[in-house]
Amino acid sequence: MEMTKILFRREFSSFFATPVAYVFIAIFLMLSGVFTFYFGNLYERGQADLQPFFNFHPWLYLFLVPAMAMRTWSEERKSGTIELLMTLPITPLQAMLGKFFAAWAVLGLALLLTFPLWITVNYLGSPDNGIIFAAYLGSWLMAGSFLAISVCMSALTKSQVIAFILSVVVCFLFVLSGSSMVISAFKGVVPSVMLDAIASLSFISHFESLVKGVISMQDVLYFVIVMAIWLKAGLILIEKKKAE
Amino acid sequence: MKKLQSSLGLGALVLIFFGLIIINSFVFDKARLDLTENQIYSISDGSKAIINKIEEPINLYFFFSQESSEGISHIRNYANRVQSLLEEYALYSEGKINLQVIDPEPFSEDEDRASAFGLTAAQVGAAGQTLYFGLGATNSLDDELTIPFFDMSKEEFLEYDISQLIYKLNDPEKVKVTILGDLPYQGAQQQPNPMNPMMPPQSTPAWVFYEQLQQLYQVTNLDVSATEIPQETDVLILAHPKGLSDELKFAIDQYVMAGKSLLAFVDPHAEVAAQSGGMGMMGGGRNASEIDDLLAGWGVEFDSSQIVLDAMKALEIRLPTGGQGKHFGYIGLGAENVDKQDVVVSSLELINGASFGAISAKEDSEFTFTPLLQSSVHSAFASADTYAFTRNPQDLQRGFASSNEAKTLAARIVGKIKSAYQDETPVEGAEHVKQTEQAKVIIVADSDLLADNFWVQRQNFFGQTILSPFANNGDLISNAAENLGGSSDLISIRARGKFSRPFDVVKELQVEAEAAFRLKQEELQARLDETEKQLQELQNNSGDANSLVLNPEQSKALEDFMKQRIEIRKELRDVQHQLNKDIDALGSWLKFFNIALIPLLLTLLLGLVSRRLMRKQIV
Repeated sequence: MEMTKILFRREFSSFFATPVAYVFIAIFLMLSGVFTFYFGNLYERGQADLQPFFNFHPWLYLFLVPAMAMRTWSEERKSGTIELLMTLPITPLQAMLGKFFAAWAVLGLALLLTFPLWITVNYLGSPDNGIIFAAYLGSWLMAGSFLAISVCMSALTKSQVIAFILSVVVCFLFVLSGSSMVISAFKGVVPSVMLDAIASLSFISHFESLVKGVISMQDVLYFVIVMAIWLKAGLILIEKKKAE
Repeated sequence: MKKLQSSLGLGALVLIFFGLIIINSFVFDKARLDLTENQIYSISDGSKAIINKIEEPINLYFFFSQESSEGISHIRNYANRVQSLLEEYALYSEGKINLQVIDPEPFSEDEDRASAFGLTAAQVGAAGQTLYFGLGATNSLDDELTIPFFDMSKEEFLEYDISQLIYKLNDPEKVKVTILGDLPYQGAQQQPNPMNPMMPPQSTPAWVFYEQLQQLYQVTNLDVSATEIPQETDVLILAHPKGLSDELKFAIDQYVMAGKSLLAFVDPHAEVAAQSGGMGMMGGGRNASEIDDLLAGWGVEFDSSQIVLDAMKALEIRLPTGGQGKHFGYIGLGAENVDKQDVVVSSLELINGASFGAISAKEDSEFTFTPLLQSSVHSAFASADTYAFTRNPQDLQRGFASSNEAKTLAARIVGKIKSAYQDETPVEGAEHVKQTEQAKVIIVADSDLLADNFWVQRQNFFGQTILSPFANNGDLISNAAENLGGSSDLISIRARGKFSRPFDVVKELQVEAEAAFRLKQEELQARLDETEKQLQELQNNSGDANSLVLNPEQSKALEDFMKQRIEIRKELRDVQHQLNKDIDALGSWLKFFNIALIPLLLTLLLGLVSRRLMRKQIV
């Protein structure tokens, strides 16, 4: 635990020592503004809520989170610092958690810095702030899931570019899995229960019910499960490479 | 060896993942925290009260086609939500509600049952499979009610629909409503015209609000010449009370003193009755309700000589001069003008009415006075007499100066009321109660909102009358009657209806801009009229010389006028353009702030903060 904390701090400050965090946060803030106002028509539709803002989050994360997380393990492996890391009195689990939580905290910070939008709708009208709070929580949980997948992919390869592309592909599958295209491909082949499970894999369907303002145990646990499983997969991959 | 192990580990992980996801979706589908302001996703106290009142068991049959809905995830999600809500009802009822979930597979007995209930079979997919997603319900008396299909666009009303179904099945006794007033709400069979006996007598249908009341309650009509209120009345409705006898007024007073419910629509000027030409009102003139003295006696201030004009909430109507324009006396009250806490009005989104009066509580009154409907702050009083004689609604705009104060257009009065008859009574020897602690009164200061043309369109469709409401006036009336009649449980659910949350700031800007625009426009319009008149004169003058050729002065003047006209028109267009300028400007600023300025500033700030922190660490 203590070790995880130390690693978390080191990783978190390393984000801010290089331009990574600034670039990420600036792009995130600007893009979410553009999406919200131009594609979501927040102002023109005249409704005091942040629906247009949150609707675009899955698509924003789809590219931004893999870009931010691609270096997590790939760089360590490429530069060979992973050996150094493994010789330290740290378990891979502690290292993994430290890195994950640091990046997740940066994502959380980026989300928090979108508060001017929240102020904007509160200035223009009187939104249901309970719904907005639930949506922020949902967005952060979903960002964590994107991150866990990207971190795992980063553990798979030395190349940051490959890690990025793989992450985008896998995340895209998770975003899409609830859509009718994917479902119809599986229809008739797998039993109904399995089909439900595939449909409920979609990030969007779980995120959407959180955006509505209801924090359901099912949705929160879904994201927690996704994070835990992908981080565990990442750990297995690191152990495997270590063995090689 | 290690490699095999890790591959096995990854395989196992995949299985565990799917296992957990499936378990998660089955086990934890009920635990949820509803963070919405009105708790729109939880079972409300109103529903609980309705469930508590169930006497005989009620059977609910929830039909949902599993197979044909496969892959339509949004419908499946919604079906899940409906089912869990129904399960919550059943759970709370402790056995009084039996819920059966049925999957009506094609060509099965269950499918026959679904169609016997009359549920809607939607066609889905390329093969056109039938999808049932509805609710059938029966009680022990074999009464049957259904929700043919759970429409996703009515998600906000889901709980209300279900509770209403249960409430109706539990079959409460019908509320007894007595209604009286000087309005043609019952419809009329007109007498044959003596001048033209060949013309068949024309009948006008009863007003829709009245028909609705008749469907929901046991309605008795009372003539204004009556002297007593029927004993068993639960709710008394006064629809523009006028020409009441002193005995009847006293009877109304004593009815209220007995703690019984009164719903009064009083009006400084009932335009509908005036339009219908009843009682020799053809020449215009004011048509006011006549119970001011009664209200004053109870401690309610209602001045029937004044009407409320509202610039912000004014409705657009066709002007007598042609074109569209705002009529400040015709008011469309929106969701922001209703009391969100009161069950009768909280869910209403639009109430249309005309020539509202204002009511308030006198200083020494002891009852609780709750405004239900209020005008916007951009409102003012106008003399009702002047108003009644005003033909052109634009005249009302000219003299308008906002008092910057919202006026109460409808209110609920609860608690201690003193009788309006403290000393003498019009009926000798009658029982006389001088005050009550339990008054239940709702006063609405307009009666025009009862009329069909303010809220509902009636269409004839192959002999069937189809009603399409465009405002919530009907809901206001039935909500109020239902609430006063005692079954407030159902209404408390209605309060959680859908809510629109508009940009108030933008709306205010619009009103301000329109006010500024109006002055400028009128000034320009006057100049334009003047120029055109002169132009006309000039052209006419040139005509009587029997010559088609204008002399040089004339043609110069003509040219000047033409130029002037073009200029004024351009100016007018510019002013119109300016109307939206402030609103657009605010939008542009907000976009600039949110997309460019603030993200940059925040990132810079972040850089500074982290630099300082790092320096501290190094030191």
